[in-house]
Amino acid sequence: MVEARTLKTSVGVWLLLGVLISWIAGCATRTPAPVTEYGKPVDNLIVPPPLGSTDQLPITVPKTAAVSALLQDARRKVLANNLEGAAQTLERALRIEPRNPLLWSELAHVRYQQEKLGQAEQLAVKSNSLAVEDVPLQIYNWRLIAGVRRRLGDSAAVGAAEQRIKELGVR
Amino acid sequence: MARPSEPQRTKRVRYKQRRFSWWILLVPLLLSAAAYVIYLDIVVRHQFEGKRWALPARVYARPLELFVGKKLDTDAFVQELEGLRYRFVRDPRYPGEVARRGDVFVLASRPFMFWDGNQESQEVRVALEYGRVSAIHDLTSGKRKDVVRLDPELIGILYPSHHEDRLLVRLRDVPQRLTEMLVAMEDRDFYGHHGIAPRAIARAMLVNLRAGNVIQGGSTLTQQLVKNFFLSSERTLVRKFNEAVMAILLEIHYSKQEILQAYLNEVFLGQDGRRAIHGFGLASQYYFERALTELSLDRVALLVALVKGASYYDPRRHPERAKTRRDLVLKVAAEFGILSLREAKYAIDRPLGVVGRRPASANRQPAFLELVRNQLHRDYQDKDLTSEGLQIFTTLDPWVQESLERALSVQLPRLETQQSMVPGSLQGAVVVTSTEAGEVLALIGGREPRYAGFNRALDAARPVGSIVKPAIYLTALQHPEQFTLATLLDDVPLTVSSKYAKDWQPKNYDGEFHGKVALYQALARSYNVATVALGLRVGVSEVIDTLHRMGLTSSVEPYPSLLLGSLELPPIEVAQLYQTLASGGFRNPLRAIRAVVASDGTPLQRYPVSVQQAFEPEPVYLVNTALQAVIREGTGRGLGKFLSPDTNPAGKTGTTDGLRDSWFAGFSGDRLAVVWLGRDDNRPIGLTGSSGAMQVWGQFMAEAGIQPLELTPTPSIVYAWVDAESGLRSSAECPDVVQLPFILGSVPSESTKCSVTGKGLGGRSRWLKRAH
Repeated sequence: MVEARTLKTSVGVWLLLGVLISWIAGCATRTPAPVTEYGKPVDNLIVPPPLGSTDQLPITVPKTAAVSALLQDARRKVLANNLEGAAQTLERALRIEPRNPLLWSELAHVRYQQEKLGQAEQLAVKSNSLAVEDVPLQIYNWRLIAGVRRRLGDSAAVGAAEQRIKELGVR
Repeated sequence: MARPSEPQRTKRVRYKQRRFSWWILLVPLLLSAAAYVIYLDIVVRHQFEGKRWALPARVYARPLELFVGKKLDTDAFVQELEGLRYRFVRDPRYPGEVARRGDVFVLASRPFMFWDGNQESQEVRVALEYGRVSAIHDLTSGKRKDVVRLDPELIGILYPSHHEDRLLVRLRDVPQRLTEMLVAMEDRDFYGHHGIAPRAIARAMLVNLRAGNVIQGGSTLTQQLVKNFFLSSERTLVRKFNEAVMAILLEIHYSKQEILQAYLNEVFLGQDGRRAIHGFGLASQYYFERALTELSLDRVALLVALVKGASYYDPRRHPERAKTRRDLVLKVAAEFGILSLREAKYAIDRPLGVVGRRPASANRQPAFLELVRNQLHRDYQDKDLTSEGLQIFTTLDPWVQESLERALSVQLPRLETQQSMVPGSLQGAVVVTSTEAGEVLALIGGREPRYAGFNRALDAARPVGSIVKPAIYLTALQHPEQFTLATLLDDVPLTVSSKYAKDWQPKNYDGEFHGKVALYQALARSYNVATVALGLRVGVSEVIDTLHRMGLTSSVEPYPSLLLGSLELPPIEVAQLYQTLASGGFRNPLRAIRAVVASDGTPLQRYPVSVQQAFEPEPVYLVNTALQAVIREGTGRGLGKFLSPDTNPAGKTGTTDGLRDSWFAGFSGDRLAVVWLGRDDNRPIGLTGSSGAMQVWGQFMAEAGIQPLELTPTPSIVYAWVDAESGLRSSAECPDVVQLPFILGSVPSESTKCSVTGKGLGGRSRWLKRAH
């Protein structure tokens, strides 16, 4: 059926992009180096917390080809440092699939990169509230939350977040 | 030598004196003339340059996004396209045209400047099947398209006080032949003269004299433009003189192009009720519902014809006059070589081609627009709102609004008849939002939605009654060591003594006391007594704190009567409270606006999706589960006549003292709606929440299409079977058991053996199933 085919293709492309992004994110942990993509260096891009080499990719996939396409478009915009554009595209996607935790998580990362740390954390929390079965995504979100708390200097809260990550990692 | 005679000498002296005095007069005269001209120069330049026309703000609904899988039935799609003024044709070629063959639509979307950038026209084929979009193809590339966003519907125009309206055009966007025709008809020496055209004046005088009538004016376009800068239309000689001078000055300072462009946007071309149509850009839309660039020659000629007198030659009211003048324009154009004779003949043969006058689609949603204005006033002054040509993108969903209006228009008369009320006396207000992002999708302020009257949704603060109860239960459930959904409450006679008021004895709606009831039952059945008891146990101030966390902004007095809803709120605030529940504990401020963009496309303001966690998800999950029980087995049972049980919505009925207010607040998988019914004079209506407001809610959700509600439990939620009577742990096989969610660690530790109560036949068991 058309939808299934589109879904499979989109999952494939998405996985590729996911690998690409995590590779980039992985590279970035060594030093806060500018992220390069398609030959373009991107300055002042605050890199989100990395997934880590042994972490799995999120399970959640878009239910519609439309959201797949918008998600890819948003990620392209992030890499092109068009953060506000990426946020708007993600909001557009959220109107189509409002309970997709992946979209909320990606929006959280965009806000993090825009230094809107308070919202970044809240959006990550929102993603978690919907990502019930998707443990890798929850870990990803908690890493982001820990990152925010670290930047805000709240060491107790950082500890709590890291504890959560540990607990989830055990599952 | 004879001396000059006395008189001669005097004459010479006098002559000298006179000449001298002449100069005395002339110099100041010249100086003041110069000063006057300088003054006029300043005025005309100030007008011309400062002439950022007061452009009204345009308010748009949400754009329709088409994607494969979207629920969309053919009629709804046709309705949206008609609302967008798409023209149904056989062979779509221009943006704004669509062809339909059964369930397949071929259309060219209009280019549009959104808040996230300019969107080009897209030619697509959209196929619908079984009430959903089944395929979308891009006609240019032939490839599948994932998502297509149509241009949004205009729902309102915010006018400045003088009600002028325009769509600005640049000279280069205006069809060349239009300007050529205009010049030929109105000012054929336009490119040659310097502001005034004495030859034209002379020519006109001659023509008029010959005709014995005034049929030709001698004003240049420049003069006409100057005339239009001043709103008053006095036609005195002084005024004409000033205009002539200013026209010359204008030509000194500005190029022909600039003057022409200003003229094209200034000229009065029609009157639409209170709205004055200025400029060719808007006139094109107003008469033909097409962009200027899409006009055929005959239509272009008609617009040029209107310049002479838009009311006199109104094509809708005086079609014969309009046609005669239009044909004259075409003939003149042919004479001047602007058109070929053939083109002119072809155009003359065509009918006027004007669309019927539609009632201004704008401002059909006064209640929603008021909410938009309120939110805009936080950031903009009224002056800016109505004069800067802002583009305001809102969250309104026209279909949802329509379904809502229909539901209200059906239910209100029905209820009035049922209650033997005077028709028209029962009022209502509704707010509909999206559950996750808090966007306001529809708003009704009164039973006549087209009428901009008292906006009850925003401004009618009414006692909320039982609608407040979830806040009490949420407060309690945040202490899982004390309260779970299975905790037994006492629904027994209770006297509340407080220092604020005399002793109070709450009663249940049915007048009975039910003894020990499970917490979730007390909410599902809206037992007043058990609820008050619970509220007093957790503390009224705690409940108030919960209400504030849910989004309540008004301050509240800590009287125990609050526990039964002696709080007065308008529907929009109730919606804010329930939004926090529907979103799983996130307090999202309700938004009606997504973005504000300047007339040139620069984004000015964005209203992003923002969330704030106000409660841990677990207690909210428990409350929402109980609210589902309200519908499954409690006071909201009656919804079963509108909706199938699979949809599993959550909701709460609300009834006030003396049956004066009927409330229902409920949410589905994607939408929250709060309905209030009552009378403006506050007399009883005899309707409870379920017999009144819930009826509107039910019909609305059934018509708009309801998405099933699937609450997502976090890993800290576990389900267990509980004996309904004792609240103790039991097992599935026992009769009279119910499966309830619990926060980890709060599952009742004590178990009970199966109790043979004889109530159910053969072990009937009810369950609050985890929705799938």
